[in-house]
Amino acid sequence: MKKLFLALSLLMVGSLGIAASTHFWRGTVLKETQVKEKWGAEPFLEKNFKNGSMSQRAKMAYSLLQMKKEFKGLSVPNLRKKLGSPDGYYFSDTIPAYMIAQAQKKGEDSWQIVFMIDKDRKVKDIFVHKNCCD
Amino acid sequence: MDCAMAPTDMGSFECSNQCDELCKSTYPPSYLFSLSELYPGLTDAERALVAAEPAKMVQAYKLSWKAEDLCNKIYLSSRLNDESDACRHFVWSSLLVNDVGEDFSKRVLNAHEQAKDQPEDQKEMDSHNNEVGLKAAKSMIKSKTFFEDRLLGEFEKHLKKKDFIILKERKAQ
Repeated sequence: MKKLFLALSLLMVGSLGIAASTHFWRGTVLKETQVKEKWGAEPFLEKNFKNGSMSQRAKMAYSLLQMKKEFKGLSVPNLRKKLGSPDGYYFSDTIPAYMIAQAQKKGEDSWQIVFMIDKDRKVKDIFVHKNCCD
Repeated sequence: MDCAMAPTDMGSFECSNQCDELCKSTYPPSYLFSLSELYPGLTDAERALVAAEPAKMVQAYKLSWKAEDLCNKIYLSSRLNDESDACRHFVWSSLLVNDVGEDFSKRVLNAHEQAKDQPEDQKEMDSHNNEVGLKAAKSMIKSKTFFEDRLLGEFEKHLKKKDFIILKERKAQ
């Protein structure tokens, strides 16, 4: 009987794991070199990012990726103070993401910078993710 | 006395009033709770719900991905506080009601809005738009007209009637 319960539990845990891995492999994430190639490497300026258009933000994306260490550990409210209100969406609306490109028609891509958070809701990683559409 | 082994199956197994006890997960809640760390961005309330109902929560999150994919057919990006956000909440709550029932849907949706650092106006927007989705789905289920491919049409109908709270209107694409 115990074996049956163990098998059922493992199945349940397995489903959870598969769903999690599906999520982690979901969507497209650009390498830093690809980000630089696509949008250049303008230095990150807080004020310009906060008030800038998507294309202005996009030009700073590469520099932001170079600043992961500085952003690591930052709380979500402090991130908002620094960069303004997030306007992108990645997996859940509790993960801050900032749009850097919006598709204008089908076949084009939308991109965003994601600030992945840990269980304490502090920044643990930054990456550029294809918001839409795979 | 010698020990002997005999093959056995479930043929004579009965648990009657012990089912709840026997069917409990053999994993301690703390372990299941830690598994929920695999999911990024969950609120504490969501992590607790994952620990209590892992299988149902996997289904709930799969439906949230489906909602996002459906809404991207209209908006070409998933954004925050705009119409695409309203669409995701409408479609997700509708799919949830149809799949896991109203009570569990409400638990999932409420847990999702428990992030301490989420601004109040965003919580209000999401909760309101969830409610529109729940009502629409219940009505469709009642009239046996709930079909996934109808959801976007229903969303657009409600959008036209200005039934949603939208904090930041999207400029034309």
